[in-house]
Order: sequence, then C-alpha cells, then structure tokens
Amino acid sequence: MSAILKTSSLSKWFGEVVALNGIDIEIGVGITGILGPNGAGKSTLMNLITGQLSPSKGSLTLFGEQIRNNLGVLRRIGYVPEQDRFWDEVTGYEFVTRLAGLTGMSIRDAKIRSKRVIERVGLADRCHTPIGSYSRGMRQRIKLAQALVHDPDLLLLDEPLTGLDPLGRQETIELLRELADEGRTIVVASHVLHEVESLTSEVILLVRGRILASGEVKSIRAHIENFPHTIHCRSVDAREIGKRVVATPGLIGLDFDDQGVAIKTQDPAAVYAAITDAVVAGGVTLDRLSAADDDLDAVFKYLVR
Amino acid sequence: MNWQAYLWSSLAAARISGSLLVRKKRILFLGVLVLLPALLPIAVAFLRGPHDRVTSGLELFALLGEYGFLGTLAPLAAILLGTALVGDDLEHGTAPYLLTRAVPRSALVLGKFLAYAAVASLTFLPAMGLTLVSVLVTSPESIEAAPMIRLFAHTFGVIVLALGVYGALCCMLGTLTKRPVIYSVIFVFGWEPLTRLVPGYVDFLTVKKHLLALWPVVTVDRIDHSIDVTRKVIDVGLGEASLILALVALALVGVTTYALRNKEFARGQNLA
Amino acid sequence: MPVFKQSYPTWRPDRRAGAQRTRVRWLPIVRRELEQLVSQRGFKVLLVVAALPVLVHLLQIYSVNKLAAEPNGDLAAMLRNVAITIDAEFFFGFLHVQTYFVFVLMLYASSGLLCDDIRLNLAEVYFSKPLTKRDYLLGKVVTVVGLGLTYTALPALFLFGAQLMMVPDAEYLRANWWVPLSSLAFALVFVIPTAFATLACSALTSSRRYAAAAVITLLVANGFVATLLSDILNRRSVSIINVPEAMGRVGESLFSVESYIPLGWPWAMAVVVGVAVIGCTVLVHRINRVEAGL
Repeated sequence: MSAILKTSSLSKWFGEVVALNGIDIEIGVGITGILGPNGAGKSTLMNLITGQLSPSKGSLTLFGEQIRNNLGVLRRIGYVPEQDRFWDEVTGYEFVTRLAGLTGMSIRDAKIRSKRVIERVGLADRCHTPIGSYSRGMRQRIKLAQALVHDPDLLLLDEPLTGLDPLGRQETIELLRELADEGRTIVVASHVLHEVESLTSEVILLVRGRILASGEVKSIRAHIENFPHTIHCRSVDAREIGKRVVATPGLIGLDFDDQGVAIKTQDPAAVYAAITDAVVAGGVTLDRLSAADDDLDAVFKYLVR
Repeated sequence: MNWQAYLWSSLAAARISGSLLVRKKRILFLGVLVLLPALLPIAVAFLRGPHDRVTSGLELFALLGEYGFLGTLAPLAAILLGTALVGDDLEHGTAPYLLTRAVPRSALVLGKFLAYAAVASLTFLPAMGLTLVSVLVTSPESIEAAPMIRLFAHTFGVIVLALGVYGALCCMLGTLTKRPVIYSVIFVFGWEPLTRLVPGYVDFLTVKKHLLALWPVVTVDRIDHSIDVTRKVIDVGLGEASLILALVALALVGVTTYALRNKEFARGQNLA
Repeated sequence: MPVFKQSYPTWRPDRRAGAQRTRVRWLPIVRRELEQLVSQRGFKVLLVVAALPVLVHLLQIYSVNKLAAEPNGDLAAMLRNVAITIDAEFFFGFLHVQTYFVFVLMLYASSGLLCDDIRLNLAEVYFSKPLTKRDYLLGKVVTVVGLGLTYTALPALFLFGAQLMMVPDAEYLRANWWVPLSSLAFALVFVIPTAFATLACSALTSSRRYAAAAVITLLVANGFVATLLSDILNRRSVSIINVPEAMGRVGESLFSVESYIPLGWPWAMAVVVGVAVIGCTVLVHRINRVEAGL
C-alpha cells in the first residue's frame, strides 16, 4: 500500500512544551484512527497535516509533497475541525457555498456542488436556516459538508462524533464508511475508543506526543507480550475448570469469585483448548466465556500503564 | 491557480466577509454614528444666536467632513470593521475553515479588504448625502448645484481613501496582535494628534497629514458669493499624497498577507 | 462523600453560629472577578502604570514641604522657579490626570465582565445559584466602581493625609478640611457613570474587543460633536455636552477652581447623571433579557 500521508521524525513544540516527539507514521487509503487521551497531540498532528502549523523538526508529506501553503495539496484535503465554531448568522447553504467558492469554483459550480453535498449529509430541509439555530448533530454534519464540497481525496476529522446522539453517530459512521469505499483516505482523531473501533481496525495510538503503537488492533494486542490475556469463565464448576487449565503452558494466575474464574495467561490458545476439552469430556458446565482484553480499550490501558 | 480561479476566490472571500459585516450589530451602530454630522447643521441652526459667527453651507459641509467624517468617523469605522476582517476569524475559531482551503492568502485578504471598503463606503455615502442635504436646508444662503456636487464627489473620494488606508492598518493589526482596537486607537487618537505638536516632519509619519493634503477648504466670498475651494495643506503635493496613501495601503495589505502565510495561528490544545 | 456519589442536594443555608451570612451574596462575584483580573499580566501592568501619577504627586508634596521647611536647602535651587501650591486645585489636578489612567483601567476591567458571561453561557450558571439579578449586577458594578475608587478617591485621600503629616500646624487642615470630601465626590462623579457606561457596552456585545471599541467610539463621537458645535457657534458653554468636560466642570465646582466654561455646574451634573441613568437602564434591561433566556 503506497502511503498518502508520511511523516519522518516529526516533532512540534510550543516553547518548552513538546506536543509531538519523533512521530513516524504512514497512512494509506481507507480509514485510520488516531487515538489518544486529551493532550496527546492529536489536534497538533491534525493542524500539521492541514498546513496550519509547520514542523519544528522532521518532515511531513502528503501525496508526496510538502503541505504548508501548497494549494495543490490543500485542494485535495477536506478538514472537519473539532471546535464547534461557525459564523452563526449565515445559513448552512451559504456556509458551504461560500467556502466552496474559496477554492476557485465559479458561483454556479459552488451552488451545484453544495446542494449535492448537503443532500448527502442529510441537511437539505434545514440548509436555509441560520447555523446558529442548528442542533449539535446538524452542526457536525454541516462541517462535514463543507469538508466534502470540493471532493477531496483525504478527509481529516477531529473528534467527529462528539456530541452526536446514537442515531447521529450511526449515520455519520455509515457515511464515513461509504466515503472510504469510494476510495478516499479518511483519518479520524478521537479519544473515544469505542467510536474509533466502530469505524476502523487500523489505529495509531498517540500518548504524550509519542506513538505507542500503530497497526491493526488485534496485531497490536498480540504483540503485547508483557501483559497477559485475561479470559473470564462464568460457571458453577469454576474450580473444576481451574484444575483443567492449571497445567497449561504460559499460565500466570487464576482468580476465583462467586461467578466464576478469571484466567490470566500468556498462551490463550492453550487455555481455550483445555476449557474446550473439559466441556466436551463432560463434568463441566460453562455459562459464559469471554476474552476481557481483546478490544481497543484494553490495549490502550495496557500501553498507557 | 489561473487568474479566473483567483478572481472567484477573491469574490468568495469578499462575499463571506461582506455578508458577515452587514449582519453584525456593529454596522447598525456605525450607521447611526455616521448620521451624527447630518444632525449638527440642524442643531447649529436651532442654537444659533444673533451674535454668533455665521458659517456658509458649503464651508460648514467641508468642516463637518474634515472633523467629523475624515477626522473621527472614518478611523472609527476602520477600527470597528477593519480589525474584525481577519481578527474575528482568528478570535472566534472560524479561521481553520479559511486557512485549510486551497485559496491564495492574497486572494483571501484582498477579498476581505474589498468587502470592507465596499460596506464602509456604502455606509458613509448616504450619511454624507444626508449631511449635505441638511447643510443645504439650513444654509443661510443659496448654493449653486455645480460646486456642491463637485465638493461632494471630492470629499467622498477622500473619505473612501481614508477608509481604505485606515482599514488596511486595522486589518493588519487585527491579524498580528491580540488587542488591535487598543493599538488602532493609540495610533489614530494618540500618535496622529501628538505629531502635530512636534515641530518638523514628524507629522509626515501619519495618515492624516496626507489625507488633509487632499481635503478641500471652502471659502465663500460674502460679497459676490463666489466659492473658492483650495487645499488645506500645501507642503504635500496632491499626487504625492495620493501615491503615498495608495502605497501605504498596499504595503499594509501585503504585510497582512505575509502574516497569514507564515504565522502559525493554530495552537496545541491542553498543553500543560 | 465524593461529589460524584452525591445526588443533587437541596440548598440549605448554614444556620450554625458563626457561619457566613448569605446577605452579601454579590461579594463572591466581586472576589472572583478581581481574582480573574489580577491574574492577567496586562491588567497588572495597568495597575502599576495607574499608580505612577500618585507617586509623582507624592514627590511634589514632599518637595514643596521640604522647600518650605528648608528654604536654603539643596532642593531650593531646583524648585525655586517651580510654582506648586498644595491647595484644592492641586488635588483637583491630580484627580483630573488620574481619571485618564483610571478610565483605561476601568475599560480593561469592565469590557469583558458581562459579554464573556453572556457569550459563554455563564450567566445561566450564575442564575442557577441562589443569586438574584440584583446580586449579579451589584457584584459586577461594585467590582468596577471599587476598582475606580481605589485608584481615584483612595490615593487622593492618601495624598491629603501625606500633606497633613508634612505640614507642621493645624491651619492647613482648618482651611482645607473639605478637600477629602470633594475628592470623594469627584471620584464618584467620574467612576459611577463610567462604570455604568462601560458595563452597558459590555452587556450589549458578544466580544470584549467590541465592547471597548464601542465605549471609545461613543467617547470620541461625543467629543467631536461637542467640539464642532462649540467651534461653529463660537460658544464655549456648548462643550458641556462633552461628558468628560461635564465631569471636569463638576469637579471645578467641587474644588472651587475657576472654570472656562461659562455654564453652571447643575447643567454639567445633569449630563453626568444622564449618562449614568442611560447606562444603568441599558444594563438592567439587558440583564433582564439574559435572565429570561433571550
């Protein structure tokens, strides 16, 4: 996969505060999530990618070119900022049309494209009312519309699902997936793990200005050798299950409670095999079996610890 | 970017700024303010006593224009509107929509500046017209149409130039500083009057000096009612003053463009 | 119990002996605003700059009294040609100069006081507490008025006290006992309308920048109208419509200083009171609308 966005030892500091430190990433077609807590440097990275900031050290290229003040590159970017700031007096339609005109489109073209993109984000019936009267979800959608109006190849979204209700969130996720299927590159920055997980499995974990890990969630998890997997078994025969798994290789510990047993191991495959044999052989009833830390939340907690 | 796309970009920037300027409450505030000179001739006619000095209509109009429109209202309009052109976007967080677009910064600044000039000029035009009418209605003597129209056109032209130069200055201050209103006020109402007290050529470092060089002074002969229009300041040539003002405005717009290209306005968040 | 474990409690005043009374509900607002202002570097600079005239006048008082005590001393040669008398006019002069500095200070303080609350929806937070509109307004007004008086009346009284301490007999006090009262009165004549006008402008805009610009605009426009009318009509009395001149005229009357405006102080006072009333009316009207959620 050829990288669309590439950084090499990218660093950015503001006075004595280092916002990003030696970032090396490559992002290609599809949806990529940039994950990190508040203050991790996600917005700084977004500002660098959109050319609003210059790197203090290192380099950052988009489509093989430098970004800052490069109109050719900026034409291929659509940016949805995190801040909920607008010119509240203008209507949604005016907002999108005028911003479209800034890229050199004629008034006629800008109007046609704006109408199309506003329909796509589902705001056709409210686009002629002032943005000041919009709900939070509508404001997010109009932001998305202004980012899409000039048909960009790369879409950058900073916390796009913040403040949306569950239906709004679902609709936005579906729209982003459609856009990705059309061949666009989409980068989503968020601190809400389950939101990023619902969008993509390709993530970059950013904490305190550094990349902790990048790639598929499962492969990141698999590479965390220092931290054992935790498997929860809910069963009345918890002690029996414990007996069957105690001899499995890589076992770290067993934690019994009223409901069952939590098995900590570095070789989950061996534990699953032992539990399966126990159930098949009979004498053990299993109510529930779950892996507690195969998700992004667990991966993140392990890495940040 | 070809010249057509550049033009469309400028036009779009002008439309954004223009539509925002006319929707803000401050344009209403300014609109009311610029009508003050129109009320003064009526106040003068009402308050004038039998022993007070009588000023002719055109003299009064030129005086109101110089101290009112040129000396006070044009700079105030520039402070109210010019500082907001770029400054408001930076302060209110709408700048990313503009700065992440494929628009040349010069087109952006040019469009905004032209919108400001158009809105401000159109605000002053009816006010100056009303002032002229007010002056004519309350004038102690009758005034011929030709000199009146010439005077109006002349003064309006100088006002537009004043709006342009002061506006460019305020726009630049709005881009580069966090408190553009204070710096603009210090320049216009502090530095400029102060230089007149200093002997020598210090007052050449003001906008007002060059604007006054273009301003007409009207004297009316009370015997044969002839009207003589001269220039107030004769140590700055007409062409010289116009050129300097145009260059200063251009330079200020250039500095604003340069700042937008090279200054970093986005900051990191939650950096502690 | 940690806050997140508590449900929403009903507010009950603390009736224990020695518990803080809730009568002065606006005091926390004043405290908070002052803390906020003092944390800003620009404001601290203004506070220092506004104190400079006090220092200068204190030095003048010292020099004059030193010269009087030692007519052949070191200072005599320097100050012989400088005619300074520490009389009522001296204190009026100090206050007159100080009003320029204090105006900038009050403008800086008040321009964001209301517009920031309205813009950031903090007014809702205030009114969700056991605070009335009156408490809210009082808190804001007292902040600005208190700041103004601290840099006008207080230093004037301090300078008068310094003069008293340096003068060897009670004759000075007998002749000038009314000067502190006049100083306080003039300070109030300046500070109260200025506070109301600047707060009214702050309440009407959504940006502190434009609140300050609106105040300056009104001041400049008022000045130009008064000056122009006065010049055209060749009548000095017309300049009384210029608010700063009106305040000055009241001050001249309070300190028995000769005025070049041939108009009685009641007219000037009417202008000043008019500004205060208009400012107050606009302020109250706006806060009513904010409280009603408009």
